[in-house]
Amino acid sequence: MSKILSSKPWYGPPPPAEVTCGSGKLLSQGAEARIWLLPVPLPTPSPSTSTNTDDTTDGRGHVINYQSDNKNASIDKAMTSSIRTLHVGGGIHVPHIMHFSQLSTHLASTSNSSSSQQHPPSPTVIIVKERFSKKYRHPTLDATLTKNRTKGEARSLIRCLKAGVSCPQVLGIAHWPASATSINNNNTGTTQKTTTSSCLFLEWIEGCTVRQYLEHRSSSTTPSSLNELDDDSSSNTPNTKRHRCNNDCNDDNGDESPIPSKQPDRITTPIDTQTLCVARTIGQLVGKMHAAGIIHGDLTTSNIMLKNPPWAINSDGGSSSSRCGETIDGDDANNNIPLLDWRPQLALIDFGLASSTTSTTTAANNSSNTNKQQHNAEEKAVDLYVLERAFLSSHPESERLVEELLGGYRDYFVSLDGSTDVVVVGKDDAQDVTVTAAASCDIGDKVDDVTATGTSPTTRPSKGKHGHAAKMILNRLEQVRMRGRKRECFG
Amino acid sequence: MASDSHAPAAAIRPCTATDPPCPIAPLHNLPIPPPSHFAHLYKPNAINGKTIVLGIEGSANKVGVGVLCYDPISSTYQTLSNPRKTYVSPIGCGFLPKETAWHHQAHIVPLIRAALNEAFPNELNPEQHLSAIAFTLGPGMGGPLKSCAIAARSLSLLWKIPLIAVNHCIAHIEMGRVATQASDPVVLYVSGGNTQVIAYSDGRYRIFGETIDIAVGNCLDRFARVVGLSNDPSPGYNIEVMARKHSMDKPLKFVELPYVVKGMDVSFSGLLTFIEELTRRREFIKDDEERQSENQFTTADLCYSLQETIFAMLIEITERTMAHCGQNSVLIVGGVGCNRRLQDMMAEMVADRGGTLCAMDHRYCIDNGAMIAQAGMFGLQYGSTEMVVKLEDTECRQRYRTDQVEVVWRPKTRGKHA
Ligand SMILES: Nc1ncnc2c1ncn2[C@@H]1O[C@H](COP(=O)(O)OP(=O)(O)OP(=O)(O)O)[C@@H](O)[C@H]1O
Ligand SMILES: [Mg+2]
Repeated sequence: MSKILSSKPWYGPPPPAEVTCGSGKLLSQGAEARIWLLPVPLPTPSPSTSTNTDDTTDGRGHVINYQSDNKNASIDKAMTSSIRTLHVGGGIHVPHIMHFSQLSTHLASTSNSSSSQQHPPSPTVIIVKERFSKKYRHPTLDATLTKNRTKGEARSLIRCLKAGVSCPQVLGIAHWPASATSINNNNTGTTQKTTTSSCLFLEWIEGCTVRQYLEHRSSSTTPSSLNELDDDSSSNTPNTKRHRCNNDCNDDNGDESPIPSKQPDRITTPIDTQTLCVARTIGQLVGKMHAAGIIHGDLTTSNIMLKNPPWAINSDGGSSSSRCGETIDGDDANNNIPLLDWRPQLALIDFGLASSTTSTTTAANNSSNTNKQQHNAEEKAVDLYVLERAFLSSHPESERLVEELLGGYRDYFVSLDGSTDVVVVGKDDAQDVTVTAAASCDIGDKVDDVTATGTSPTTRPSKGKHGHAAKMILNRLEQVRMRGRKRECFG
Repeated sequence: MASDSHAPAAAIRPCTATDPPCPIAPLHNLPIPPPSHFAHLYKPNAINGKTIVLGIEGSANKVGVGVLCYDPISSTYQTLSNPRKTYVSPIGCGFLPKETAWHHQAHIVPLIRAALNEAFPNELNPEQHLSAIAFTLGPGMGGPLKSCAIAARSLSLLWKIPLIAVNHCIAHIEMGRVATQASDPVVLYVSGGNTQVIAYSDGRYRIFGETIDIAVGNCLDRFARVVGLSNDPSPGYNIEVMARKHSMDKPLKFVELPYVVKGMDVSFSGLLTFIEELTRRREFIKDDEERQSENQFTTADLCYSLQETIFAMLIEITERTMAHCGQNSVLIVGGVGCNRRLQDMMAEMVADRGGTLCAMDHRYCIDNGAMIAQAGMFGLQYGSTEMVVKLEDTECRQRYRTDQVEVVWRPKTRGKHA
């Protein structure tokens, strides 16, 4: 990648001037989108106490917070400060940024509402995800895909936020024409197409990707590999810096269970309590997302952020206040750190290929809808399969992590069959009238659970509706894996 | 693609495919083969120590025999002959295993004879020059595969030379690499039975993206059947011809179709159902009339829209693999790779990234015997115990994944973009 980008900082059409002319910094050039880190000038926000409930395994506080304050507040504010909103589908509206100047006004107005203080420093730095147009495809298809993926990403993110799935806040959306330079470049007499680039403004998640975390954990000799953080797609190189299993297994983490290295000089992924815990938490987070009826569509270790990399904790005792790439220095990085009570805080990103399951589980309750239920299970299984493949192809010998992840996934569903969750989520449902069909379906399901399994709510938790759903999905995953092998056949 | 025509079984004459003559492929950046571990198994040709391999392919509706020669003095691989026959099924039918197997059985012996005659003209015993026989072990359709394997086994016994079992997908890739001298490309393998994005890593060709359901060629073929396009020379080619009616002054209509990319994988079955349903709508004009109103669409419109949509999906997953692996050259192999529109779209994407697209070439796009010989030659020269097989280990494998084969002839790049 760095090879490709050596001459220009980016490829594809030039980005909108608004993004480049400021002090926007290119964080990542992906195949279809560029990620910019953009400082936005803000008036000083009103101080407020923040309840930081970032526990990804149980973000219920988060949910209520978002439900009760943030959604209404930010969107009302957007309305009152005369920023129009854009319907992104599913009854969800997102502030529509027409001019760059609106962005800071809008951010200022939302940052006054207490809710967005979940992340203490006010969002003076934001992420712009700019989807650019692809010349190779039909203009209609291109425009549709670019716009719809951005809208869809916003929609899925908001659905996740509503369901308490940790992911970046959506600050706004824009469809800007590509900057003038592209038009000047193109005066060759060929037909001139005006291309649009769609921008999604997101909360900046500090930390690093799980991929960077795992790669970093397997490299002790050259921990500087994380300095390549800016080039996410340095996906190509870091593996060469990975270190060998037999060194890495010396981590002093309680009851680690390192894989005995048959070939000591192969690069492997460390398996210890810490990485296992990360894997399990990923499983729980994905489970939560699936339970809310959202399919990610592109689950990889680069699309899951770790907000509190353990090295950051070590250096400043609790909060990860700077990007891992900056705090890391050679020695901290791999000497471990008493991390007994370290719990990974994760966030899902990159919902560009996300979809939501359209069927309602309530309908499935009438058992008239087994087909749709099957379809749901299939989509979720494929989502898990994509993640599994991403793990196994990017992180050699990470089978154990995948296993742990799937365990976490199952456990999350099983935990839904307990009675405590039902009350809380049911309350959400009551509070939020504009909850989408997909989100409400599972909530409805949970409410049903109270009545259905009310007599014996905790005695046989795995036999509950959700436990059953998880079982169905995981069985389906087995089928998808098999089919992966069958695909070679003619059909 | 349009080049070989189907002759009825009755009129078999020795003949060769009408593809342009294959140029000599120098090794360039490919490594020079080492002296084989299998020296006791095969003897290089007496003349100048050349190694000559006969390859037999017949995994789908094409049966082909190729003779490939490696010249150690110039370090070049040369295709001496490469005749081929294609089974063309009637309009509205796919090729069925049984008939295809019969077709291959009828043509295999004349093809072998033709290949040897062309490679060694005026020789009474051309087989004495051969070092080994390579054949397709899989993947593919059982009957056709077995028919060709039987021929390979018989010849191996008759001529007392080793058998090399070749993975069809690997053969496409290796022929592509030799023909284009692309040492480490991202490979888009698109054919009637396969849709994969492949990159080499650590001793194997790894599948980064693939279809979750049906293959792209299968999707095209089935659509062609629904709208009644001919299978001659191939359904995909006829779709391409229809779609080419699109021009600046007379643009075809772009009908939006489901676009399904999941991670690095694609899915075509939903799209196929959708477009099949479109052909049952009232707005669909089957015959080549003009559109009367805005919401009508013709067969050509659908062909065009289908190509635009599924190719965009393929380019997208290829680009994602390139980004993932940090690779910037692309090689398209397999029958669908002959499609010009796919080539053009890929070229545009690759150019945007500052990379290179390897030129399209019949030698590796369309199934043929020489490419089997090419992969077999590598297996022989580098002593792949997996590929140089005993007679009893030659049972065909209808499912034989690309990543199952250990690629002993390429250096281990430990952990590289795994
Ligand atoms: N909200 C965010 N906060 C911090 N970093 C982010 C955020 N969103 C994206 N990034 C960084 O940018 C990288 C790419 O983001 P994302 O996956 O959304 O874009 P993408 O174009 O789909 O990338 P790719 O095609 O490489 O997957 C992420 O891996 C992450 O490092
Ligand atoms: Mg991403």
